[in-house]
Amino acid sequence: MQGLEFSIVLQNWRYLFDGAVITVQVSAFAVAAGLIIGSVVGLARVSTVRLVRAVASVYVEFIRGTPLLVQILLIWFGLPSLGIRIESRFVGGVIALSINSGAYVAEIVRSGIQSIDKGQMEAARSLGMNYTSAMRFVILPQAFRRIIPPLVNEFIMLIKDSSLLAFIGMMELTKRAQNIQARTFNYFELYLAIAVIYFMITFALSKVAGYIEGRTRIHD
Amino acid sequence: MQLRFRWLALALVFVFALTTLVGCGGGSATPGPADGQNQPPAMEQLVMGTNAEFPPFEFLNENNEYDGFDIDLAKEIAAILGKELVIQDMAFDALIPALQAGRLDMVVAAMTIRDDRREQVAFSEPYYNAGQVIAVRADNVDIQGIEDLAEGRKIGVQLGTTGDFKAQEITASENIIRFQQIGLVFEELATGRIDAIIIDVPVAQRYIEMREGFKIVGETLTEEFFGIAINKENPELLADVNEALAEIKASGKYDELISKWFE
Amino acid sequence: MIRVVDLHKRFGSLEVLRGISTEIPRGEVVVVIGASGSGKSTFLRCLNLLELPQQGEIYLDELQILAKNTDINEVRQNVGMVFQQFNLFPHMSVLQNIMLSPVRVKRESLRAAREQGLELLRKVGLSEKAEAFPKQLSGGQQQRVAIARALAMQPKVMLFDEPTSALDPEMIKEVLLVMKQLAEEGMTMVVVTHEMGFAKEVADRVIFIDEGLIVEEGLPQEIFNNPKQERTKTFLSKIL
Repeated sequence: MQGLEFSIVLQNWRYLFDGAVITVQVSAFAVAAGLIIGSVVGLARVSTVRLVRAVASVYVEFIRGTPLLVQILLIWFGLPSLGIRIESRFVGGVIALSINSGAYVAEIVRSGIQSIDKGQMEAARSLGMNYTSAMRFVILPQAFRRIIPPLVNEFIMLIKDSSLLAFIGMMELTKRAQNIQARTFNYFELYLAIAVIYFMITFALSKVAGYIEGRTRIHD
Repeated sequence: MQLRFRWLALALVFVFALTTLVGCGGGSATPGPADGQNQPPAMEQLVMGTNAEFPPFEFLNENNEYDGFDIDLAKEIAAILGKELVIQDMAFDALIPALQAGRLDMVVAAMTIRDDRREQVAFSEPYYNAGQVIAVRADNVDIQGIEDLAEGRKIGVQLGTTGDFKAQEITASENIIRFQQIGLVFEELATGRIDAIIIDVPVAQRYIEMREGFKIVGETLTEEFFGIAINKENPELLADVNEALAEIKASGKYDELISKWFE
Repeated sequence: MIRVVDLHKRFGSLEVLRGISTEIPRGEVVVVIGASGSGKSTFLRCLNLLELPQQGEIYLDELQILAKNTDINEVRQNVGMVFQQFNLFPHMSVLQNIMLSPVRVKRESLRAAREQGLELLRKVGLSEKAEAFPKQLSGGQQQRVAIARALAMQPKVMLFDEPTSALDPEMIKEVLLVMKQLAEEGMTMVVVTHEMGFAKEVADRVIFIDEGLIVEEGLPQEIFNNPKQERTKTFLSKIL
């Protein structure tokens, strides 16, 4: 047969599709856990207690200042030497991505909070609300609307970055493509195929983000 | 040339062009033709591809130089052919595509001569006989041989290697954990998340020497031979390399290298 | 009602308040005037502790609100504040804005808070805007909602920090009208403003602050018609 052998992609579509599902799953779990970590750390970043602020910023700076691949390898191969062995590759991958995502979400949350006009906090406090209530009822609901689009963006980044989990043998999309390549040598076809799959997922997500952004703007 | 190869070549040339550009921008030490004034007349190059993560065949030594049995062998061949050896290091599974794309003249990378690879590239006469062997943690007493691996044991391999194919023969796919680098496979074995590794004998021996905690069990699994891969459209080079190999064996240089690296 | 003794406030090396003392009895309407940067807004913001003074005492009734064991949040429930920029909560309807603090802080029932909210909206003339969002209102309407929101906590004192400075001229009147009505009902009010007409008409007392000190205070007609201090005369000649 002449030309590109895309039949190899079709023959393995189910195998690749399952990998794409794992890619989306691991990223979705990570962005959810990252949102929890990021909210806590993001609030800590604007805390009035200096020590809390310092701890949070060390975490954020360290994670943002080191490659995700190195973090993944540290968690997967480094932690067992400290006696912490994560058995499930999926869980290990989710943990690594969550810790990474948490730092980026923290920055999203922090800038979301700081983008809310100072007068909002003053007005809430002047009505007798304590800091926590003011955050909960006045600042965070407004900040949350603003951070949905960057959060979806973070999800998109995670979906792409999750390909690095192939390094620890997780059977996500990229890893599956590599496995087929090792057998059939159809490098170009498979990389092109998974590029298209990644793009379809991320493009759909960015459309969703755009839709949400349009909706939340109405009351802003 | 098949259309498929043209596409691949195009893509690879593009990537190559990019990396070259970046290299120049970063003030690369590679001598370009522009500063060749004071250099001796350039020798014809022999571009060799390898994956320098597979000691003792090919690896980066403590001085960050390419070193190993294959590297020494390739140097001998280049010397005999009167060419300048240029080494390009890349992922193991990228070697054959690079060869097909014309980026490499030959691949010397502990590559087993196999029929499916023969469909893609030509191989020289075999230059090394490497069997596959099972490596386990030193404290393991359950695994004595291949038959103990069959039932649900987790087997680690380097992606696309002979060990990978051997593992696929004896167990279900979900029990095979594949990594790009052999070092990571041993790391995984050390953590206890996999039970055994199927790997070339000399590599296993080398790792066991370097790091405590591993051992080889059972018989050698397969007879297999390493060959130098060359583009099918370059029969002249294939003939030259085979002649050079014969000369290296006849001169006793080959035995010298074997004892240097494996004894 | 409010007694301020020797209040000092510094921002870094800049001393904004340099020893302010005054007393505001129940039911009095005090208008604070002064050039921008004179410290009049800072003085007002100290009264509900949005700014913490470094030195001095502030008594609300008998409570020293700067004492360490004073619950700031409780103090603020008794001191309503209206801001120049309204600061309505944009993600809530007008009625929700007004109900939020009674429900969340005072633990009033939704029903009681709602009834009170609608009553307050009637008072500021915005009954029909209960379900509107702040963005859909004019500046004057927003400020009237902000006044209703502050009143919902049933404060003993209302502070107004330049409440009409961000408004177009045609909307200033409707806000001043609400404030005047409030004064007539006997609310204790401290108003920082440039509206001298309002000061003349409504204030019981005018305080002129310059460079962090009270330069002169007295009945509006005394201050405006017969100022004793040179600095007061200069200031008034510039704005009148």
